Amino acid sequence: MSWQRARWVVLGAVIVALIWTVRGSVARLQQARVSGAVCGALERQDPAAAVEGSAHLAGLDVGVKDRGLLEAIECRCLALVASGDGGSCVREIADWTNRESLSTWVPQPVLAAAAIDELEQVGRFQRAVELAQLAASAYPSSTLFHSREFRVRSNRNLANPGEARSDPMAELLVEFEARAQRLGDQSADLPLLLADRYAERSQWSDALRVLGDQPPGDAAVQKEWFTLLTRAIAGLGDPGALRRAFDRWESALGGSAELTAHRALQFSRSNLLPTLEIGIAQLSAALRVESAVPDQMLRVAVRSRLIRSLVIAERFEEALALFDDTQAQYGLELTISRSEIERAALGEFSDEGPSASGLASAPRVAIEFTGLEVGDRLVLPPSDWTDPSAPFVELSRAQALGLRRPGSGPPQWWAVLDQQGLVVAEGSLPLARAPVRVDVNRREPESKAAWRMPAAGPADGRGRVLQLILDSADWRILQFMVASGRMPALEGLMATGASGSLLSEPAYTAAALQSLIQPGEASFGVLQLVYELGGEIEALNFVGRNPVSGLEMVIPQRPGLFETVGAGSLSAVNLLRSTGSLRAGRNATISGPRGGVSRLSSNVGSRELSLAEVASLPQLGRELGNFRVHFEEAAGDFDTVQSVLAANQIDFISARVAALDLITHSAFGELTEMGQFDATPLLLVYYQYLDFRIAQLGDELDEDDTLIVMSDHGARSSLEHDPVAVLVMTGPRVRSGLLEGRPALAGVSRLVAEVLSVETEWPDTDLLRLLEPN
Amino acid sequence: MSSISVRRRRVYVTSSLLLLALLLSCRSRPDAVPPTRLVGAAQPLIEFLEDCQSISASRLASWCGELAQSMRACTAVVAVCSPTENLAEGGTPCRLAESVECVDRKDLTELGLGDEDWLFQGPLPGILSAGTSSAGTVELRGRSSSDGAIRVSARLNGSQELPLGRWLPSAESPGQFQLSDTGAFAHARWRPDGGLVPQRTGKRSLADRLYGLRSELFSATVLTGSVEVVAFVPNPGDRFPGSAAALDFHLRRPAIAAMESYIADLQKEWPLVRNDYSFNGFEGACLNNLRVMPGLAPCYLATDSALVVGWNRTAIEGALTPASRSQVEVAGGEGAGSRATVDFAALALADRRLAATRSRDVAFNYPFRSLDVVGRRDGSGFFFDLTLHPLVAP
Repeated sequence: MSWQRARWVVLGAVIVALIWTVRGSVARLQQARVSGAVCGALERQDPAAAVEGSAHLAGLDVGVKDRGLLEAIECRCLALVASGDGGSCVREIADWTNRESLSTWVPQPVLAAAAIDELEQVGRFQRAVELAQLAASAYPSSTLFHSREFRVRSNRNLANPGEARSDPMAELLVEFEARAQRLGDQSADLPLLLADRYAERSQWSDALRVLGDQPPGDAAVQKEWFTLLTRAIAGLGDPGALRRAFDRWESALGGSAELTAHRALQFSRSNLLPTLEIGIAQLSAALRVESAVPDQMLRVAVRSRLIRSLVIAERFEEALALFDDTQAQYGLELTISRSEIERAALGEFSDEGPSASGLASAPRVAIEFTGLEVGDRLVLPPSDWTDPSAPFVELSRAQALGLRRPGSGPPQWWAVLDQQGLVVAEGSLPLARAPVRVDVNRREPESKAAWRMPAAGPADGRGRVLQLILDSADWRILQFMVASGRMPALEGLMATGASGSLLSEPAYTAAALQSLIQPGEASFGVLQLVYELGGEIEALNFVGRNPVSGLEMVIPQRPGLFETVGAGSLSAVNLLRSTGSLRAGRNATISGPRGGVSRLSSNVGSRELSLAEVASLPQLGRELGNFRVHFEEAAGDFDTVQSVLAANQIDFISARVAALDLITHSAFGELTEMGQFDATPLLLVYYQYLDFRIAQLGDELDEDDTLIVMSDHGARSSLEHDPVAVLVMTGPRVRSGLLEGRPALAGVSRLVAEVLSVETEWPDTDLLRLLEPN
Repeated sequence: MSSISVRRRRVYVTSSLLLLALLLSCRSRPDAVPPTRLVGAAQPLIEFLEDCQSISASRLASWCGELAQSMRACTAVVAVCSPTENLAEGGTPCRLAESVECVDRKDLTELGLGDEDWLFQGPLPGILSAGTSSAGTVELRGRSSSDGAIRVSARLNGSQELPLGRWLPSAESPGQFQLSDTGAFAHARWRPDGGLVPQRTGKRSLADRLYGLRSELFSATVLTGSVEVVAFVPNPGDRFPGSAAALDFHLRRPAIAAMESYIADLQKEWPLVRNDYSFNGFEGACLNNLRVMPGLAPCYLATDSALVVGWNRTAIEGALTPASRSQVEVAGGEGAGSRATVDFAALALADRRLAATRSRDVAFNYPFRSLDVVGRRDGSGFFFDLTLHPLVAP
């Protein structure tokens, strides 16, 4: 190339570079002008001008290098907040951060946090997690992001992408616990979130560990810390430690009406008080000072708990008076209905009431159902309903004429099935002394239950036992659901296996579980009584600890259910969700073989309901409100059992669906409201979900496995348990048919041992007749 | 065995005994758990331990059984063991059964023990010290007598921290028995070393608030500090044994006034109904509608010298029915110290009836007829004289 030509090339390149630079400068100048206009208006406290001047930004193509425009976006957002339109700010900033061109952009911390929250709210969970991770990296000293990331990932069970795990929540907790330790004060609220999650999984000791010894932060954070601390200690069932924790709370933050309320509620809920009367006294004391409690939900919770306690103590007038006062003051629906209190006051549920002899002797009234169509079937309790386990009857339209039923007693549920056998109406008959007319209003038919109990797989030589304890499952509800075609799995089990009633006295979960897990320890005497009284003295903090705890040395100790099964070549896993005063052993503990003890790594705890589950049971897609957490806990319970069965390493699995008891106490009231139900009551939807999951467990069972579906007691109302418990059992040695009588529940463990060929001297309460000889 | 080896063995044993004697005279470091020592005639020890083992299928019974087994080949034994580290700091307790060595019976005389004697020293057992890091010690000297009874002298040192420590008997005499124990399985009269109610300052406990335990009833101006308790065999079907307690007072009228004031305080917290009550010329009151425990409907009566409180009317009337009083032999007369007696046959009946109400079996077997205890504070510790009477006289 000649010198002249080279000179022209160089000149051309310089000109191009100059143009490029000028263009870039112009662009930056333009952006700076926009930013200056928007942010300047904000600085002049003219947010309206800032908003108007930035309206065109949404249509621009903005990238991470367009710093001026990004500043303008942030200023616009702040201007929107200043204008009272914070919602638009949050939506816009979330949209901006969701753009692919801005995938690595992190707004200033407060806006980033708002964007994360909004992204979670609209269901963009993965993006919310990514932004939280980016923001934590961009602002390492900020406390806003680690806890947000944990919250989104734990709410959605989002494991690290690309990795499948059996218990993603457990791994998430381990990951964030390590992170919390590393970050220290930089993420003071993260330990609280972790403790809350551990508590949801009944991992009380882990919750205490992450909380640490000292409450962090300011008074508000400390209150949250103490709330979690006392919840975890209550879960461990140590009344002395719980009392000391509340004393410490009072020392740290001062005595207050709010603390009084928390204390009364926690002790009452965890059944760590020696008597009901003491609980009533504490709750009443909290009620007297409720005007000083700012949290309305806390005030209502105290009132609700006190109403229940008064009913159980048969102080019905006080309970009704408090119920009416609560409705008048707060206008909220409580988890107990007035009709339940009225029924209880009438003695409907006591052993002296009509239900003691069933409805047979109660005065009968004429019942007329109108609106039944040709082909409809009416499902009702049997006319002589003395046995809770008695099947419901199905009447034709003609047979429904001239119907007479008792006008009092336990709620009598009815359902109308159309020609396809689908439920088109259901309700509860009213208490009545005069003829009753029920005008049936048909609703859209529920879809038929799409699942069935599958046939067992071929025997694999490992005869396992799965004991599924549905806490508070009641025969009346089960039979109603079976008769209305909504629990096909249980219906199938009852048809092929053995079913009947167990007697659970006293009808409390703690007593029932004790009789199951300590079947051989059937002794009592003066020294045991003194030891128990010492525990009650401890709870009253009179001496601060059980003064006779040393009597443990002389009180007989015998290996329990799990230790006995695991002493030889077999293994057993405890999934009883021991909590509070239940003392049912440590949850997720494997015993055996040969006396070994280990922890189950695949304990799920709880999880969200899946789309597949909603597709199978559309009722799950309804607004579940406060009951969602109970469905999610059951989901976790069954997932855990399913994974244990699939792994096929454990011979005896004993699992308890504890949340059924909680939802029974909360939602049974809806079943007692007289009249037609607008929709299937959520408690019945819960029973359906249990049936659906039992069917799924069936896929993991084979011909030499034994399945026991039982309850620890029944439920007469949201307030009162029923000593008649459920038993349904299938297996290679099980004699099919109805179990006569009501054998004591305490004999189930002997039955389990017999099936597993484990020699014991545990009591047989005449349940062994369910089995063919080995 | 050669004379040299016999000599060596004697030197070894004597050295061990001398070392043991030295150890016995040493004080433990206040913060460390003291070693556990057992020495004595094997046969009476084995019999005592086998009786212990037979009571129930408990941890204590297992310990007794292991220890008895370890000394079957001996005529006399020495056992000394120390925990690996301080128990309060996570150390492990020692296993006495693995430390047992056989010695000659005549070696015991060097320690001042007779042919039928045994001596145990060690940290306070779990039954007294559970949950504490107390460095207190217990010393038991046992002897089997010709009538088949086992007499044990016990001394507790450093027991101030114990949950029950303040309830141990003071040096003062508690006075004479006031209550009848016909039909009772336990009867005791003593003066607690720490008084009836702790004189604490600061906020009231839940028990204080609910049970009014800070009321003037429990001040030293009303009560003398002596208390007597009798526990009766429950009637068939009763879930709790009836019991009665006598609280001696200085002056009758102020005591009654204080009791009525106490009841008035209780009524502020509980829906109680007070009814007048009288029995055998004594006046008082009963409280109904308490509904705290099965069968609990407490009554009180004021006698000439005590407020007598009963679980219910049956209990208080049984305690005040003139009948037998405990015939515990007290060295030096009735004023010498606090005392208690347990009738094991009645206790076994109580166990059976309580177990029946809960549909359970009985757990305990009692290899003795009765237990008599006399005790008092003695300097910085407490001294007890226990006598276990055999089921059948030899």
